Amino acid sequence: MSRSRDTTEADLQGFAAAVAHEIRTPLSAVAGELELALRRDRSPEEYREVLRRIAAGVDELVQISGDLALFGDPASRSIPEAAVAPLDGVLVRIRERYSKRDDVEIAVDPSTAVRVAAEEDRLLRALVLIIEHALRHRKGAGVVSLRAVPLADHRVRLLVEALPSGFWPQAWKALADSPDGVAGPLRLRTAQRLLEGAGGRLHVAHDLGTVEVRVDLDPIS
Amino acid sequence: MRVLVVEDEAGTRGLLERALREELFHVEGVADAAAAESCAVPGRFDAIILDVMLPDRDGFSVCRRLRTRGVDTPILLLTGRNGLADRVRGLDVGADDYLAKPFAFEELLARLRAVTRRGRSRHLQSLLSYGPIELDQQSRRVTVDSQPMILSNTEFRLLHYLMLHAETPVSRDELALHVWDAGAGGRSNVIDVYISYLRRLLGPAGSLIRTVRGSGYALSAGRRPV
Repeated sequence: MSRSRDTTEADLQGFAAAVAHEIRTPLSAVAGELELALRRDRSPEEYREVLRRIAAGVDELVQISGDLALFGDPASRSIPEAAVAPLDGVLVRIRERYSKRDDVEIAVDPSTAVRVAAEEDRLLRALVLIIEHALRHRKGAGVVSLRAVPLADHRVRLLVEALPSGFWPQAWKALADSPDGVAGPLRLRTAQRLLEGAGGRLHVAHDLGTVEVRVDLDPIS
Repeated sequence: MRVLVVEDEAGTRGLLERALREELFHVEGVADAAAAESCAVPGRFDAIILDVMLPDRDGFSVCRRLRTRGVDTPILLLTGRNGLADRVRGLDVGADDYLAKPFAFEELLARLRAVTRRGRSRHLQSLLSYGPIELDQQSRRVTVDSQPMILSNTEFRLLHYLMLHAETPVSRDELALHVWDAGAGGRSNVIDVYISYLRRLLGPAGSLIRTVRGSGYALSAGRRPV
């Protein structure tokens, strides 16, 4: 009992520290831009540029608060009764979302023409969170690719890759090293929780500096 | 003062670079541990601002490896983690100071001054002088034979860089990078024009800015720059 309470407390402390760290980065950018802008007079163009950068930082903070709300929502991790999502439909929506970017490739092929027991919007949100994390933590300016690989037991595996150079390991390592798969950055933890509500699971393997990211889903026969 | 900024988050790195340049620091920014370790050679920088959370290796390891290699440049660790264990670890691996995000820029500047003061770098001195030219880095005042000069921001940065490297030839590429924050491409004519402005503004002292054939310029009283 006491050990269990200690573990919960340690998890909570780790989670709070990780979230505080994630909030501090955009917050310090916003505070720094304001402080710098006020140090001396600037041209209207310079002030506009400062405001644009502050708006980007605020967007990031809004995104974090949205992730936190999703993470804290008890409904996130339960599968609604009779919820069924067409995987290829979800992937098409993600592809449309990134249609203006040439650094994201979403493959929709016969292997994704399956239905999974999931609430469609949650599955989509989980995959988008993983792609956003992948875009931020890839080496170089390569392409983030999401493609399906059919497994022998009828399950579907979605592979998330950064081509050609792969991912920086540090941003994925905590999740890979976590025995229960629930540590790591807020974005990945939220994705993991949403996937639980979609009958799936995010796996990150980290070996000799390379990172493999995959999502396993159970289709409905 | 030459500062290396090691920060993977592009927004924060850009902010630090702009802020430090406005304070007349000469800044280089890199995004990962490998780049930091390759350019942080002894004597190249007066201070290193090092983020703890880097994509390829954490800042504590970078700090330890630099110290092992004999790089004694003052290191200021910058991080979103402010726990006691992290602060102690940072100082134990050889960092000179530790600052948590979000931070006030004034405090960052004060800490930079404090860590570099220990090295007694000449760049620390507020007043730089060469022959009849005096340049106050804090007030941004320039005098020649005690007569105040009015310089544009670019002219001031150019003179400042030349004075920091007095008696040493400075290439056009270096000037493009450190004065104009740009690569050398297409800039050399602009550099030559500003050098001529500066020579004219400084009057007879302008002859101290010497052309180094095929290379760049040097502030030197001798016939040939050293």
